[in-house]
Amino acid sequence: MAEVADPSTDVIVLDHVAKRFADFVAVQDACFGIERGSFFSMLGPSGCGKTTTLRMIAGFESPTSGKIFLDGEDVSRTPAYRRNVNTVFQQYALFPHMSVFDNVAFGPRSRKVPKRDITQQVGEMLEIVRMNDFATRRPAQLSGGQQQRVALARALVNKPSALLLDEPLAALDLKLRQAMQLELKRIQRDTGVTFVFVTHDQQEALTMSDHIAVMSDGWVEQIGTPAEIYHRPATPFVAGFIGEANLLPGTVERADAGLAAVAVSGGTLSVPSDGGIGIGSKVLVMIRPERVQVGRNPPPEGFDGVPVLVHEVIFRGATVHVGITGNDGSTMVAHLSDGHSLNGLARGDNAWAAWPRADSYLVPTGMTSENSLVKEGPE
Amino acid sequence: MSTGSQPPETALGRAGRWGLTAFAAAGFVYLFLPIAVIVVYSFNKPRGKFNIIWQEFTLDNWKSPFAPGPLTDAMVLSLKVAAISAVVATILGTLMALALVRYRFRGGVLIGLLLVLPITTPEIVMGSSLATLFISRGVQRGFVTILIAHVLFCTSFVALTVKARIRGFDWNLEDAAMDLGASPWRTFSRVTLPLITPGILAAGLLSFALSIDDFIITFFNSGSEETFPLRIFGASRTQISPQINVLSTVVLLGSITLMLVGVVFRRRTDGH
Repeated sequence: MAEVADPSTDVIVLDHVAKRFADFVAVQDACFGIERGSFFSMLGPSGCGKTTTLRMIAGFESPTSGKIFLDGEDVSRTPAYRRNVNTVFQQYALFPHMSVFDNVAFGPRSRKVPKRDITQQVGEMLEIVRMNDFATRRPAQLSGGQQQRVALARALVNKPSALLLDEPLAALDLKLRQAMQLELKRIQRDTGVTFVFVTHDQQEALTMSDHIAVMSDGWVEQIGTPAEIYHRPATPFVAGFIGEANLLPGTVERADAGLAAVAVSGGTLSVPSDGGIGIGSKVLVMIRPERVQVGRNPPPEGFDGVPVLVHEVIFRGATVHVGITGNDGSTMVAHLSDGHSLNGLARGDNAWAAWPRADSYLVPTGMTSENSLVKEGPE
Repeated sequence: MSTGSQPPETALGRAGRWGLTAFAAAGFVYLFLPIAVIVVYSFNKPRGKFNIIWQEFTLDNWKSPFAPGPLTDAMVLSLKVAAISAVVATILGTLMALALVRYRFRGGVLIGLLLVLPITTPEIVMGSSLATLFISRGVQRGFVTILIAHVLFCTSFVALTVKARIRGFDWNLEDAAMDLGASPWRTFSRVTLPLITPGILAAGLLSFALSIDDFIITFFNSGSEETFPLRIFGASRTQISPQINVLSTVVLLGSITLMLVGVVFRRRTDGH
């Protein structure tokens, strides 16, 4: 996805949007477009600015600077009730004094849709979320998952240009959450509405999204497909936040065509590179744990590796997680597909960590600071 | 909740249980005896002008409870004052409470603290200082000054009551309503107001009750007008007529009815 917005395909465009509160900056210079009909996620730890960005799109906050376009129209100063977007709130915010039917009919009634159309539209919508048997219930009489469906129906019945979802699954337990992830995907496909989804759960974002914007400290760090973000993180933060990552700090010794030689603690690695890095510059080499093998012998042809010490072996069922320590004391993790591939190695043994050369990745370090060298993403 | 596995009750335990019941009963008697006396003595046929010694049962007092006379006039005045000041104070107090809870603004905390003053200030001080104000400004004391005084202390009560009731209000509901295309007015009338109405009604009833029985502040600011409490106090030196008991009982029945209506209304709107 291009960082530059394209008004012909993008339903929402943020143009240098920033939001400053009295004592901090919530969003810094956000500049991106959201493609019509796609499932778009804003992902980041709490306080990264994702919810504030969503609230600016909804119209609950106005940007301090910059512009927001909806369907090509500048809505930066348009109040929430005149914007054709609808929100599913974290705690659903269903009206407790109204029945399910009246909750869903609230939007059409506010827009003065004729009565018989309302009955039909609400009925259809309740059908889509499979709640038509509950039309006369009060929200308090519904389970969390059912309330979630009503909240979805209440928003979608207005046929919004985009549906905004603020951590809508956070209040559900794990099993229901996973079921609702698939359900949300289904509803998004069936309705064709653009979904803008805010979450702090990287697994959730990877599972559901067409595109993900990873945010940190108010900055948009990277926008891309789940695969792009996982395999080619644009910053050390993204590398650490999405999935688990082994990040080895090193110095560029040679930069040949397509390959850079990087000196790390324990040896020199050959890392694929598209050029443009100077000799002597400090870089990070990322290797995903599932690519790392642990063995007794130095890496064979086509592989790179460093000598390590096995300090932990954790059985996880389908995989075995091996904690290993490099000779500078840094820790790495290897996810092995089964216990046999450990070659009999146990805790306390000296070993080699090795990986196919093509699977190592040079993380650009241009815009981030030292404290972004996160080793593992949060679960 | 009994679980079926309770240890057998000891003699001491049984005595304790009886003691507790008796204590609770004594508490109830203490609370309700004076009220019972009012009701019972409305059926008394006193000898002389003071309805304070039980003589014999009669229904005569109840034949025309609102017979024309100074006591009925005083009652009507009190009801009028209570109704008007309850309505005015409920509107003002609710708006204040909404502003204080909903918005952060300069001086908001200070205003919240000052709200308590009209309630905590001794009534005698409030009453006399208000009177001083009216007299020094040359304001004729009467119906309007009584109203002003009552609205004053009732507004504080309403603001504090409503504030406490709406503290837990989910303001996301307002965002949700506007998100669904409701104008600010529609948001308030269809979502916010219906949800805080029970709190507002409770505050209104409280205002009414406070106003109808206020004596001290009214005494200083009534001029020649006489509310029900003032009339009873004024007449009590020469006469305590059974009509006082009858009217008091009517007021009592009225407030019990309102309370029951409130309970039924809550049951219905809560939906479970």
